Amino acid sequence: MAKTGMDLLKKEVLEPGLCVACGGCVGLCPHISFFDGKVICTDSCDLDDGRCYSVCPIAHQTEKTSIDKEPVGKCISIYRSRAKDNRLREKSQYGGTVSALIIAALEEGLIDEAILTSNGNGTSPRGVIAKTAAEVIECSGSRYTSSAALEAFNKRIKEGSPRLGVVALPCQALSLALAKDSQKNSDQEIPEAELTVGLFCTWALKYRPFKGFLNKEDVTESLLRYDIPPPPAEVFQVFTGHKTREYPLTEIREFVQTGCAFCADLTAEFTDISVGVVEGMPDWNTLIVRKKKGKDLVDRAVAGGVLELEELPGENQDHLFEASLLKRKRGKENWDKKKQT
Amino acid sequence: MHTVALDTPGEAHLLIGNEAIARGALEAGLDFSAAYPGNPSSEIMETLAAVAKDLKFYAEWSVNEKVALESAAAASFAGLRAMTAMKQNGVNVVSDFMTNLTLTGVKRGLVLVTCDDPGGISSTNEEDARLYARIADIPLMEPSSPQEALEMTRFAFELSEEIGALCIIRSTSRISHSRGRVVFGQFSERGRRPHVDTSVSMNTFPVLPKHKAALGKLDKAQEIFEESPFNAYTGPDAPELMVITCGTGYLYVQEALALLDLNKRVGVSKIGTTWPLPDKWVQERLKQSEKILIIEEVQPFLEDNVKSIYAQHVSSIGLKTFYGKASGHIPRIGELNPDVIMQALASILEIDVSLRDEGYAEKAKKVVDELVPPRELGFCPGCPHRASYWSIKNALKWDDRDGFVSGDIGCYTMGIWPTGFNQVNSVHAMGSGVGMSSGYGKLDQQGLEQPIISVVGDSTFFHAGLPPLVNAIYNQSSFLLIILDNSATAMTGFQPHPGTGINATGDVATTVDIESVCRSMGTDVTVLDPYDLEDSSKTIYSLLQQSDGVRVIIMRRKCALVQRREGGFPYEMDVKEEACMGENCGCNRYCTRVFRCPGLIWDTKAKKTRIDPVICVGCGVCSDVCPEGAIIRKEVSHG
Repeated sequence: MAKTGMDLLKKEVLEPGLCVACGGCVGLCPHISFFDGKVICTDSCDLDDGRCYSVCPIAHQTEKTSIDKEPVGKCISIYRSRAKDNRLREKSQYGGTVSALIIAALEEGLIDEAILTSNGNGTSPRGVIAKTAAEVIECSGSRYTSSAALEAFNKRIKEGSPRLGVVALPCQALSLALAKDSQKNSDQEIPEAELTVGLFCTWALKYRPFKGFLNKEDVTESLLRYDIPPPPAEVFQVFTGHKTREYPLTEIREFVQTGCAFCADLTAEFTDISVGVVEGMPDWNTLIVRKKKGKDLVDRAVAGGVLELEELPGENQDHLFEASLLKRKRGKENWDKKKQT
Repeated sequence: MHTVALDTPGEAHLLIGNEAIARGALEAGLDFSAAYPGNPSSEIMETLAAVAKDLKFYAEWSVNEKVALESAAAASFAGLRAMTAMKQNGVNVVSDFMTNLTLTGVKRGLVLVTCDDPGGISSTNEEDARLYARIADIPLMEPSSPQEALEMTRFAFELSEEIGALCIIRSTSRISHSRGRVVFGQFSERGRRPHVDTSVSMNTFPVLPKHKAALGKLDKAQEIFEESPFNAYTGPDAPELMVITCGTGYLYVQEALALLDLNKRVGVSKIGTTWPLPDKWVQERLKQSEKILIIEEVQPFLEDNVKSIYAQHVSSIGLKTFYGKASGHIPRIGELNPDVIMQALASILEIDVSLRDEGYAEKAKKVVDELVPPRELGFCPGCPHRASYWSIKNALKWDDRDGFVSGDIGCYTMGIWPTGFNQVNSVHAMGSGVGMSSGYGKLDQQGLEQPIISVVGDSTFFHAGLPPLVNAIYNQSSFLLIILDNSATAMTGFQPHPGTGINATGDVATTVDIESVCRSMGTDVTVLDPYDLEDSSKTIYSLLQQSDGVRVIIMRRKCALVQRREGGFPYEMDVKEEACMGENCGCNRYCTRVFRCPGLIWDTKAKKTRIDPVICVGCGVCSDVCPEGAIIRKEVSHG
């Protein structure tokens, strides 16, 4: 039988530099760690089979994604949404929907704790646990660099398995889905997340070279968030407390995780809800409600007056579908190309 | 008081060769001794230092071998009998001074003892230091037993004074460490008052006349050696085969001849004065037989020199056939043993010799495999080096730029093996890791992108780590120097060094503070506790990210063996069995398979880790290694 352990993970994913640092394999064992923005094997576990390989979204990318024929995956409804609270919107990316939903989930008691990505000022962003609205707000804003946030999920599960909500990038959502699949044939299960909120993602940056770039550019003040305004701007914006800086997108693309090229999922399909941008409406988010659990949360958030919902204009939905299908196609093509070489 | 200090001439005692050498020096009236430890030589100075106060002579652990010989030479220049001792590598270190000292000569008896390690059992190399006697034009003697070690050492002082030159005694591991019956001689006068005669200049100029004079001294030594009782022939007048041997070879030959009952057929010329060879005496021995077998360890030193005499006098000696290393009868590497010599004798004399029963080797291997658990060379339980390498490993892995470690000599050399997580890439001479890093650290200009770490022990730092560090700082090389400070010269037996605040005779000494030394040269110094794995790993990582010049980390923790003697450790370790994940995904014996402290045992039946209470010292480090918190520390009080 083929060996599907850490050695294979190293061979297929880590050594070729394809790891996108989702963190799915981090925190499960002492051999793999996330340090300074990078997933590293410090030792070899020597086991033939391991959870690290079975939850790796890069290793299982093509098996799992694009099965769904729907353009953005399973979907109950699509809206545009935003947090009612202005202050939440100011600090957040676009409409502040994710922060509003997570706060609602915590306050409504749907989850005990949320796994979010820290701001990581001065250090690499990483997975953290949030239990209060203030802790959620602390994590709002975009990161754009890999954070291995699932490390926090794995560690928290190991400590005692509370009901966890996870804000996940597509790769992280896929990893969680793979973990669920792998439970069937393992006695050491990774329990499911109670709630998954997905983030749209086109790619993430490698932390170390990006940090090196910012250091070189003398960006030393605290970083709030990043953004890429819609085409044809072709710029990457860095928001700090003092000012906004813009860099040509081509310069930044050099730091994109190699593995992101193989990702076929734009909208984080393996989640309860997905949230992203609405092109041309920086105050709003696109909200995809995928599962009943997600619908319940959205309903409660609206009823509780923390979330505003409107219909997503047809033009925006068309754009979204187009972009989603394009990413699937590109991801698949890149895989096929890679397999041939 | 140590046996060697007993004023009991005629009494016999059991001494190891190194103690006998020390006794020989004491009988010669030793006034001054200096050495740097190194196996198999260390017991010489240890023995001397133990009795120095009682017998009122000076003994010191020097910072390195060169300084030791220089100090001893100074004592000789001031009219005292002086000695230094070292291992073969030490002779390399002293060679520069030694080859100059040849030209100045000595005033009072000055003796250098080199204890070579054939087979490199506890050395980084296999080397024959005898060749230095030729290079430096100084006399050399090789004892074959502890008794002879005593007598030769005593005589070496007389010879040194008679010809006015440094003399070398060359021992090997088996002579230095074998215990044998030694009959004591008399102590001679001690307590000379030193005075430096400033009317005589002790320099090497003019070089040629002084070189000529040195050769004259060697000629004089040769004359003396012609009559030396250290050279002896035993056997028939005209043996079928003449064995010429020295040192350990003599003992092995005697055993081999007895076992093969060849004493009536084979003659044995045992030579104690191996440089310069007693020319005429050797010629006479060569004439006795048609076949000559030369037996010695490591280099064909005796063999080549005997052949040189033969070539010079072949017309009077007649045609001979030589056997030895050149003919392939005697191995050119490793230690000798009676088996090797029996095989050589059997082959030359065309006799049948079956050394062992058929299948013996296989049977023996089987028994050994069954009874002896496999063991690799490893750090002791609680060793701070294991913890240091753990953090170095983590930091280099996290860094992920294929960084590497240059090391050198000490217990921490074992960083090349799994016990040190195979972290050390290169090992050569004392201080070489720092020197190599100084070079690696300049290659960034040509595009080297790998981070560089150098590890050096505290004793090695003082021995030979300072000049390369100065070089690196001066030349703006860039690397991370990690000084593994276990506050002892642990590998050779805990001898004190300049950083320990104690001298060879146990008195309080000035402590040379490594930290201040480094800071004074303008480097940043960070002191870490190797037992704090997280802090150490992260600090090493963060210093690896800098690329501006030499950065110094001192990882400071007493050698675990010293700590154990000085009050022990604070913990008693235990394993919470239910928490131990054993071989499961998520661990797979992280502690016993990766961390590998011998205090941790893998229970193959229960599939759980256990603590070996006999050897666990209670340092507590493994508790931080276990991912499940299954290894727990319990505070213990030391009454």
